[in-house]
Amino acid sequence: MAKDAQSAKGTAGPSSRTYKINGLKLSDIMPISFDGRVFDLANLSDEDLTYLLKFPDEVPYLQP
Amino acid sequence: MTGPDGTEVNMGGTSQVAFFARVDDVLTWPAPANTPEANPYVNTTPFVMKQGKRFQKLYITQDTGDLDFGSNGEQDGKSFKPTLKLFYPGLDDDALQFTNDVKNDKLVFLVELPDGKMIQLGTSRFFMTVAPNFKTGVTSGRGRGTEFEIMGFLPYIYRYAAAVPLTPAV
Repeated sequence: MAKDAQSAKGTAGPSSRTYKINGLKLSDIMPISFDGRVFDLANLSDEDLTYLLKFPDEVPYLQP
Repeated sequence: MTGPDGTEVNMGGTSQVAFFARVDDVLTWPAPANTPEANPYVNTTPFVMKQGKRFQKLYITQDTGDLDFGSNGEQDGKSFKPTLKLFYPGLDDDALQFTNDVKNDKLVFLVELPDGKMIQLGTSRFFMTVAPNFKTGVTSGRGRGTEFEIMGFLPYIYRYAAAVPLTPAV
């Protein structure tokens, strides 16, 4: 039933990630759904990271 | 309320994905923004789940998702009786487990509309229940699957405008 799709793939793996993730269990793929899209918090593109950081209340998991 | 300006998406039905979680897996519930001008019926802080818990995705066969916020009660006692109907095809092991586990459980659903907005069915005090109806149908019919009817009573219609945690909480 749960076949999660990934957002636009970024290159931010755990060692190269430029942001921190709070409140969720860290893993290679970390999906959330927001604003009609599924984002993979573990591998955000710079564009998606910038977009999600605009919503600190709605998406409280990211710390630059 | 001035009507549409030509930019809205008012397509009927729901998207082909809904999200659900068990009420008992929720640690804290969403809330509207804490500002005087905030719409009190739009929740902008997300669900926080208990450790290891998350929301799950539910596939909906195209053109079967139907959300109806029926009016409930009499004058001076009005509320809502939402009903979400959808069809899930087949009977894979996930569907078998879901159908059996959910029939007496309390759940919360997030129903995605075609424009991406989400309606929240269920609150910390008012839960949704699920009536599953698995059918094979006849050979020339639509094919086997489960018609789900999700229902409850709510004092308000809530929109959910925050992230849906599909990753387990720590």
